[in-house]
Amino acid sequence: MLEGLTGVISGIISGMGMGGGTILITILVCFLSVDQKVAQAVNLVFFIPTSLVATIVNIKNKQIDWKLAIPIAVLGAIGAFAGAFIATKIEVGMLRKLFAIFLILIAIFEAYSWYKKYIKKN
Amino acid sequence: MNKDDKNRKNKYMENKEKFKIAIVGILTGLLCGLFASGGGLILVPAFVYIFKQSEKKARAMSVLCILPMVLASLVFYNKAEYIDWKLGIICGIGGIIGGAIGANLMKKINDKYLVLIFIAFLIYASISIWIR
Repeated sequence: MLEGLTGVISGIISGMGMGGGTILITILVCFLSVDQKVAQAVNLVFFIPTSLVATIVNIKNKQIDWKLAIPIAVLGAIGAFAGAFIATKIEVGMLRKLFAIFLILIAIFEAYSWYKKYIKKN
Repeated sequence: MNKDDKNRKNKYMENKEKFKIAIVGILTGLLCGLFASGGGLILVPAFVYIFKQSEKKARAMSVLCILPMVLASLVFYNKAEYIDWKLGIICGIGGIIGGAIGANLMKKINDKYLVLIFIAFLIYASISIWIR
């Protein structure tokens, strides 16, 4: 039940385009005591169905610049192989700490772009 | 500027573009695999600011590009037996419902304050994950 609700909340955030994945992992790890690596794996599974549907719609609507998208997708997959390999090998406490740093960096970046978009402009 | 210089300049710009694509692609993939999240938070601004795409196209393309990264990551997470399919499917069903709600909500509310809540949540989450 709580797991389903976590999905709904993360889905709402994702649907608004704000990074539902980070929220999903955080709720699972902090409130539902799920292991960091298991929570990350959940997010991978979670991503597939919705993004597949969205991508089919986006291709139909001609929203894709293939010349740019294909190399990034291919290189990204190679990078992901390496990243996922590291994730499964390092100690879970270490991964959690790295994830915490990652979240802070995203927060700083989001704050900066928020400032640029809403404050500096006026 | 003669023709030769122009050609050289074009070639230089082309290589610069390729270099940017390589860096963005590999870096996003690496983080995507390591944290299984956050790919969109990197790719969307990268598409907008570095590759000068519209916001809408940037979102569409980031979802497409992250898909193969997620599939590549799944190979390793699956091999290490970290996938809890039951939990994944329950969250996934919730996610489909939430996604539909979120997409509709996006048209109606101002995201100015929403982003602030998101930032506050990230800071809170970061601290609680660190000390957990």
